[in-house]
Amino acid sequence: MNAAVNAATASPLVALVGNPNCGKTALFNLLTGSRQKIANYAGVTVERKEGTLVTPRGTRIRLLDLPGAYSLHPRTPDEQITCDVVLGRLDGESRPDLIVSVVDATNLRRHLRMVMPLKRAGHRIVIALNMVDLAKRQGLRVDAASLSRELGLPVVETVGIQASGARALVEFLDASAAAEGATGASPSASDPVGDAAVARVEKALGVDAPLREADTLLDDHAEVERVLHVLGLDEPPAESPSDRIDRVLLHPVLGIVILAVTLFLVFQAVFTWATPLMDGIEWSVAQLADLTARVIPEGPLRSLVVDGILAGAGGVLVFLPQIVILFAFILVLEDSGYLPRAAFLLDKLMGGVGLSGRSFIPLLSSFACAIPGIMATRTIPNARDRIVTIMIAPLMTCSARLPVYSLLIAAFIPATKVWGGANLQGVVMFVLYFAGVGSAFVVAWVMKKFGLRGAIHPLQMELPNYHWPSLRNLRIGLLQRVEIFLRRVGGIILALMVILWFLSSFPAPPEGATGPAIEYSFAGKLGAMLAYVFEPIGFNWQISIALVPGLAAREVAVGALGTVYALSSTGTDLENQLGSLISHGWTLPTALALLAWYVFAPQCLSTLAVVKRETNSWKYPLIMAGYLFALAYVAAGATFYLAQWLLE
Amino acid sequence: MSAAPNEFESLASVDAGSRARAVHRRSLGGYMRPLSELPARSDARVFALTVPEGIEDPEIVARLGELGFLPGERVRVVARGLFGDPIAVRVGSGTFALRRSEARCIQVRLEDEPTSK
Repeated sequence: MNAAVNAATASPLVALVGNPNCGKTALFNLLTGSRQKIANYAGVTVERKEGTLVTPRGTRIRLLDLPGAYSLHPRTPDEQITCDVVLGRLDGESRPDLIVSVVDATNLRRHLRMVMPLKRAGHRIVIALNMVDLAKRQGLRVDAASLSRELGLPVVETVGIQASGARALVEFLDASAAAEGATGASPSASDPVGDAAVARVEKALGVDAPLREADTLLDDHAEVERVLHVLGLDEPPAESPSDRIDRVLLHPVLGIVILAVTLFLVFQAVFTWATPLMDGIEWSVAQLADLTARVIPEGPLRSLVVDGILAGAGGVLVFLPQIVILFAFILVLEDSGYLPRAAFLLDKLMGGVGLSGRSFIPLLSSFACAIPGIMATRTIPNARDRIVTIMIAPLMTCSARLPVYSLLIAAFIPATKVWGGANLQGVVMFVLYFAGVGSAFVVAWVMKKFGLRGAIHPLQMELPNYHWPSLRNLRIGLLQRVEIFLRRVGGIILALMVILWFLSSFPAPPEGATGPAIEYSFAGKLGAMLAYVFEPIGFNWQISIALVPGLAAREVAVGALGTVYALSSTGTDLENQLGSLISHGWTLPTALALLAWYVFAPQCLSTLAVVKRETNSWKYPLIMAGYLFALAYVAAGATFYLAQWLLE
Repeated sequence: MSAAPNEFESLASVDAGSRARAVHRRSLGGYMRPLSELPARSDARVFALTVPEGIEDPEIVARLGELGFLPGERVRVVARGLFGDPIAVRVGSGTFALRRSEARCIQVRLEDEPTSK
């Protein structure tokens, strides 16, 4: 019974495997209580994620969520991960004891085909017949018992988006764990996978023999057809409701108009709807500053709280409503299945600069933050396309830049109505986002032209069936964004503001000094030095200082300006908001130059770190930092002089 | 250069295998053409996967098979992009966006005359 020692200490390893977009991650979240991102398009999960599940009978199970794969013949970096785990080739990870093969009940023809190579690899398998609710609504009756009999595998029905949707799967895992306990060890534990076994498995799968692979594929297809025939699910109807929607949304002209109008309305909404909420937060922060000023006596502590924390971190907090509204739109678009359609519509345009529609979703994710966007490039099969997409991802305006844009636009651009009702501020915001996208296209074109030229770029992109966005998913997604934002404000941004406050307050000005104290501090001296670099493009020393902590998190630049100005102001203008301070202190060309700077904004250390990790070299992060800095400097300078010349 | 003919053969075998399998499904009426030339909203069935000139990487064709573009499967062009590229193709219960250069690898036979909806 000494085999039982190992079996008892090591929790069984269960892996979720299936085609992209079949609901693996939704099931993973249900089973483990995690909150991994789910959305209605292929390639949301690009990493191996691990969670723990304790069954009702108390068995601990290690559950792996894997990127979706169309076969065990990987063609993209994310599929490679899945393939390695399934075949037990990943370092430091044993072969899974059980595979939960997740299949979309509404598309068994394709999804069941993935089960066959898993069977051949000799795995213990349970089929999770997912989205049975959708199948029923479409009038598809899938008889789980017959399916199980025909495949010779256990089948459980699941609904990944319902709280109780994984109950049958949990019961199965519980029962099979108990059965293993009785026999002493799982079948795969008694058959450890050595190199010889892996080679045998690969041979069976035809991994290195395309000839056999093609035959295997046809055999698998024939087997699936046989099973479906027995189940009375011969062929789907020629036209689905999604096709009828696509007739409008994928229309070559109308579709593009709808896409442009949708994006335009999103930016209008970000500006218009958020204003009352932002005013509320601004007012609360001002009240808090007032209160603090009354409670804490005049001195460094009051200055730290009022000028450092409230003016700094509080100034960033104001932008929470805009970020929530932007993400609400993004989440709805993601969940409905529209995003890959947008990629379809823009594919030709992206093809013009040598990219494929496959780059679209990584680039779109970069509007939230370049980091998940760069991770999402793992779904791009062509290595050169992937590098170019990574390099231009930071040109998509990430949500951390929203506060900077928003502050400057609110201070310098009047909220007048143009073109029959559109808010001018929203229009300027739209233009800034567009400038980022436009320059990304130019950069991609240049990169493709010089060096990173590729031959043919496959598109082969799944357009999922449309779904109504799930309110539960939307709520979870928004709460997550709020949490991430508040953590940034309360964590790194707050910490940086405190540090900046110290640097801006000490050393104290000498006796008989006339200017504001900050000019004599470390930060003031640093700003004066940086001003040599940035004055030619219209930035004053306060802006120069604010750019430095912005390296760690872009929105800190807003907080930093708040602190720097709060400390530079001499009198009792505590309630004076940063917006009105800078609108009096800066010229319009300076403000526009800073906006142009932030379209490129080369400073984000975490992005550069992720680029280093994903490309596994220092070359690309260094090129990226260099080219972004150069573009930002030139764009800001050009904007500054052009605006000056026009306004004279 | 040594691997290329081998892989071409593998895909030719898809073609040969397809005949045997497709024939029992239904007698093949209509005429053959590449999927890239299929008019929108007319039903067709995949007849074979081929590697036309200009496709340097046969992997692209192998992946098309894995996505479900297999002999005997019903396909329908749902939409076309602005200049006819890319195209959205329904196969089985799923839809895929393909470049026309990719769609040229899929030989189809029209099921009926184009529907006049």
